[in-house]
Amino acid sequence: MEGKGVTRRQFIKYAGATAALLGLSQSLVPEIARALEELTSGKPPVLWIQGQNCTGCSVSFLNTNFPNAAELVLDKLSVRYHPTVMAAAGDLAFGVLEETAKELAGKYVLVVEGPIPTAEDGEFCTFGLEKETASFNGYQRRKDKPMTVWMEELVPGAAAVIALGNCASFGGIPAANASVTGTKPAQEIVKEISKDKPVINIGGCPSHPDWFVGTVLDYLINKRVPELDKHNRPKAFFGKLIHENCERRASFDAGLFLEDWNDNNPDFKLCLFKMGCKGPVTYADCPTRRWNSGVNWCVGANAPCHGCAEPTFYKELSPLYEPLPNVNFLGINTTAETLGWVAAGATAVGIGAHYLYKQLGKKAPEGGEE
Amino acid sequence: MKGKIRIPGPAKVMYATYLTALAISIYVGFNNLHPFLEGWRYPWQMSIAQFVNLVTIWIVALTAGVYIYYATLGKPKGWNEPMAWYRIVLALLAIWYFLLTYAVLLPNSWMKWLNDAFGGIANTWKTYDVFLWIVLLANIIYIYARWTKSERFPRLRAAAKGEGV
Repeated sequence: MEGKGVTRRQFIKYAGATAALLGLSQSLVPEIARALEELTSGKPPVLWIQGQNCTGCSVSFLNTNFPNAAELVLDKLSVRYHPTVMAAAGDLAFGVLEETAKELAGKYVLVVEGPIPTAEDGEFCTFGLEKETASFNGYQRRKDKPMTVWMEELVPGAAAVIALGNCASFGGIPAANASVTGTKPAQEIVKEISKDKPVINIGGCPSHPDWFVGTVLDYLINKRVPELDKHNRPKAFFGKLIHENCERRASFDAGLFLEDWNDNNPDFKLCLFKMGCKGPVTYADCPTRRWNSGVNWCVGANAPCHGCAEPTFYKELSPLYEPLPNVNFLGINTTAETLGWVAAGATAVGIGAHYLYKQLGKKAPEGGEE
Repeated sequence: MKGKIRIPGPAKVMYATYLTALAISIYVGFNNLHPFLEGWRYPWQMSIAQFVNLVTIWIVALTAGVYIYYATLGKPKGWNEPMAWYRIVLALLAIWYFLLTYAVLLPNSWMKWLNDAFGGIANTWKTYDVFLWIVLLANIIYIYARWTKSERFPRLRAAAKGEGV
């Protein structure tokens, strides 16, 4: 660091800012300083591959400020392959992937962005070319290399796999409903290839840059995979329900809900639960961390939380603007209200039919009416 | 010829109290989930609705609890009302409904454990929404079924003096 003109005082201040951003105690500043120094000297190799993704998580990652993306990609980490930001292309770029897998086996971190399609031998998502050739429209050409094959080559040598974003972690939008591409989240593929390989899921659509950077720092500080929840998400970032820390929680408790998007009282900060907010079922630290370097977050910008950090996103948390998830029971998939009205109708018909049957079948009492 | 049905006076009063409180709590519950008044509602309207809901579900739960005791351990003589099993089911359902409503209205109260068990408040609300319908329809069905056991069924008239109900 000294070579770059950074004084000791500046460096410790920088480590302190990183600790504050990651929500860590100031007592951890020396540890963070050590990790940052280690990053600078050791440069852990990172391979970042992309499957069925929209590149949103990469774009989000590029918004990181402590440290900033350029510093992180070039100085702190040795990001050897990242299709969005690297200058190299073609065989030169893919050569780096293959070379790293061979030479740095057991040392590199594999970051997977986007889930992996498995139908049709994985041909829905390919990058790079195989060595073998195949006939294509009458011509012999090298075969496309599917993402599944890359995973088979890169997973065994990885120290750990980080599934970045909801799609890579849990399937997300590509795996929702009828996925024609046979999409699988990274952890399922990794399990098939190497059972004991640690997989860290960092959900979010997109994932927060701090969640990724913080997880990498945590790994370097403690030299082990951070504490994970049951969905393999780092507890440091996904340990608390959004609802618990929501700035509109008081409105929820008071029963003050926004019920019409045309409501002209946005300053009242009404609870968005009835407009589809999934904060009460979503574990993430968005309300306290906020986005874009702490500028704002979804609910703060009058948009309901869509639950993008959850494994149930998008399939079970949609429609996004419906107040409650659907009732999904015994193959019935509808809203409680529809179900209720159908049951009420059936009850009315049943009671009416029984009454009519009894009324029509009743004999007049002897001696006439009472 | 149906036999004469005798019900002790306190049981009649208890059922009337239960049914009134239940009807109010179901109305307020539905209003809370699917507001019958569109657009802006004033804070005091919601506060009163929630207060009324809390009071009525306490009444529902207490009458249900007393009924269970009354129908099992402390059964008075001469109480030959049919469908006792159905009423016990309704009483148990009412106690569950009380817990669920409490968890919805005061999610951070002593009922927080139920929200945690459901995996979040949204799931508790979903369950509450379903159970509002279940409680409503189960009680409507009971009222009709109980009427079919009455001497007066299928005629719709009040009980005459000395006549069973």
